[in-house]
Amino acid sequence: MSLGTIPAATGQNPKPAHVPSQASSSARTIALAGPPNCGKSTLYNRLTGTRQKIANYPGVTVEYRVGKLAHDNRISVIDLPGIRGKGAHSEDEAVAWKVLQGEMPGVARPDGVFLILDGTRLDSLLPLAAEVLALGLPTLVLVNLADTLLKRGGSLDVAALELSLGAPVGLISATEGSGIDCITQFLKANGGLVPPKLPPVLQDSSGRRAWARRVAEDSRYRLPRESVWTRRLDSLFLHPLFGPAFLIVATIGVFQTVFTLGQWMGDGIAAGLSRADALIRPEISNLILQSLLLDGLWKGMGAVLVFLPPILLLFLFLGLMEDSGYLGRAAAISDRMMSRIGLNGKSFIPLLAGYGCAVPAILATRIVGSRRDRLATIFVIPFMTCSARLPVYTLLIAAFIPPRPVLGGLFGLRSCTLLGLYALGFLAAVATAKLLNSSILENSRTPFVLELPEYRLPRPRSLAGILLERAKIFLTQVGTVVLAVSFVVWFLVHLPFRAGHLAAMHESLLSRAGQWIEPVVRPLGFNWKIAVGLLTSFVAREVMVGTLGTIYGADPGTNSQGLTAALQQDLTVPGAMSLLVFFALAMQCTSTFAIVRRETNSWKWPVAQFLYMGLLAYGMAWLVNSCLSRLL
Amino acid sequence: MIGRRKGREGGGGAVEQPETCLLCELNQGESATITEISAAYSHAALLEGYGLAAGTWVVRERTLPLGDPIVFRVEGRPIALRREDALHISVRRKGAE
Repeated sequence: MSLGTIPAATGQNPKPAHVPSQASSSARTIALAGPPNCGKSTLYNRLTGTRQKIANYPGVTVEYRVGKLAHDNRISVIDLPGIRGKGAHSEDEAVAWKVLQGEMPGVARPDGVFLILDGTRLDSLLPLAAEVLALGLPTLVLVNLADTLLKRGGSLDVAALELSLGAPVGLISATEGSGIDCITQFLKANGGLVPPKLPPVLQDSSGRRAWARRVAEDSRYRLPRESVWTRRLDSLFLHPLFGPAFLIVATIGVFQTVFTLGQWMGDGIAAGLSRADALIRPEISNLILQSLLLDGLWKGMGAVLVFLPPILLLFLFLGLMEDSGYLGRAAAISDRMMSRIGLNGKSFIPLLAGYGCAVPAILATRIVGSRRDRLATIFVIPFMTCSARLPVYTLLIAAFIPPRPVLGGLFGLRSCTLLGLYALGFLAAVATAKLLNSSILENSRTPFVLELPEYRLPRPRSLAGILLERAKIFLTQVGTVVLAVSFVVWFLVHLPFRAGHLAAMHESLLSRAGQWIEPVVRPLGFNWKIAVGLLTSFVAREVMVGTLGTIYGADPGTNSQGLTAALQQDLTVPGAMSLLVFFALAMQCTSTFAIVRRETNSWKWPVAQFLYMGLLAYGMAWLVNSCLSRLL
Repeated sequence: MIGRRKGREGGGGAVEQPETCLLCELNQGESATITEISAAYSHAALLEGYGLAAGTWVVRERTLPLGDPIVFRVEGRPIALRREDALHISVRRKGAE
């Protein structure tokens, strides 16, 4: 955008609120920048309302949000990732600086900056302000939490601060929405946006900090009293005994809720979908079309859609933990444990989330920060026993493990087997993390440094925003990738058509493929039917149960006894055990593959992960089958 | 515990410990000024974003349950830092509070 257009936009400003369409000649982009935990997102939501979208920067995994100003749609606001200083190590921060410097390919340099700073710790943020002002972009400095600052006995001379910074300063409260009219004034300023008058050219860090001290003094900045609540809550949540105990109980509670409530709500969705199916089915007379639309696409998307409630619940809890300030404490407490396996405390929550579903867990790795630790976390998450493995585990355990008591009746052999499978996944994750740490990711160990923010009451509005965003992303995925996969699988199951009829299971392309790959899986103790089940399980693990049901001509929902009996006839005990091990270790999930591709923005990582987990699963399953076959 | 931060200029009395030490060697509640970050440490710029730089005033606030990381109050803000990173930071004691 040329500079010449800017004065034209502001000089004789017509009422901006009533401009219906975007006048491209006067369109401007403002970047919203600031450190983490300073109310940036709250302000962003307040400024843009619901008119925002999420996008990815080209070439990197960083997401950004861009929206139009609620009262003036000619002005776009980009919400940049939080920044601390140019010595950034996380990809997010590096991207934010690149955008501000106009060095981000494909993203035009913003026309101005709203620099939001936390007023309750302004002195320590002034060096950052110096770095941002030195960029020479027209900047409005927004001192957030102004109400808290004054309430707790702090003070600030705004006029003096403006003079020192050479840029306009506004005192605001993003939560209350007070003081943000200074933004309208800034945008309407005569002569357009003006770069800071005295851009502090402070190249070295000690110079910046000396400057910051002087500015804080000149503007008579007085720190507010510490939050008494934060100190009290910290002596509780960081207590040597109560702290870890609370963390464990809270995590178990969260996952229990996510997966019982989530399952219940998912079941509701499934019931609704099948009711719709029953209503639509008679309306479609062509049998092939009926099968494609309902059995293929509708059921395929439905199978994934039921994961929406647990994913949203998980993000609700993550949002609650993050907004309240507890997430940082959880990361700090678990860091010791995580550092043993070469990860850091910030990976703890995403790893735990992997016990539910790898997809939201991989999305949650956004909080990890450093790219190296984030990649390592993403790589090991699919080993955590997700809920999609459970239907397969339950089916095989019921068929092959006798309900014998263990340890004097304290445990059953069946629950011990299940526990063992969870442990197997966990050990594989730990071993893989260690392996990554001592091989490809060895030389990039990053420090663990984390600011513990003040505790705050989470705000329903911002939580609702997060959930809405996540739902949108997930539904887009369902409408595109999952739809395409369902389409392909349906054809594989039903081709070739014979005289206008669908192929029977045993002569379909899929079963031919199963017979074709049978020699590959024979050493693991599987026949072609299991091979077909395995093939479809790569779409999603739980699909295997449905496929086996179709193959053995029994509906697992109504006649699970039939499927169990059929499996007992068709599979040896060593074969069943090897199948369980295979499921524990292999990455059989298209959604996970797609999300890893999206989050790492490369094919290299998901392919490497798929091959690594696949080979490990194959090797271990083979070992189990051949050892047990000799023993039994 | 409350109001500790006001002890910024306090202390300086009978201190038997050496005046300078490593950040992680501070005792609980003790305050100090950072004198330098080891040149061999490649993440100094990152720590600076958290206020950890020469001239900054720090207080060791608490050790986390499993013994690591350590929470320091850096210019009034609580910052958790691993012991292995705190090893690279030298400080001058301001005397135990």
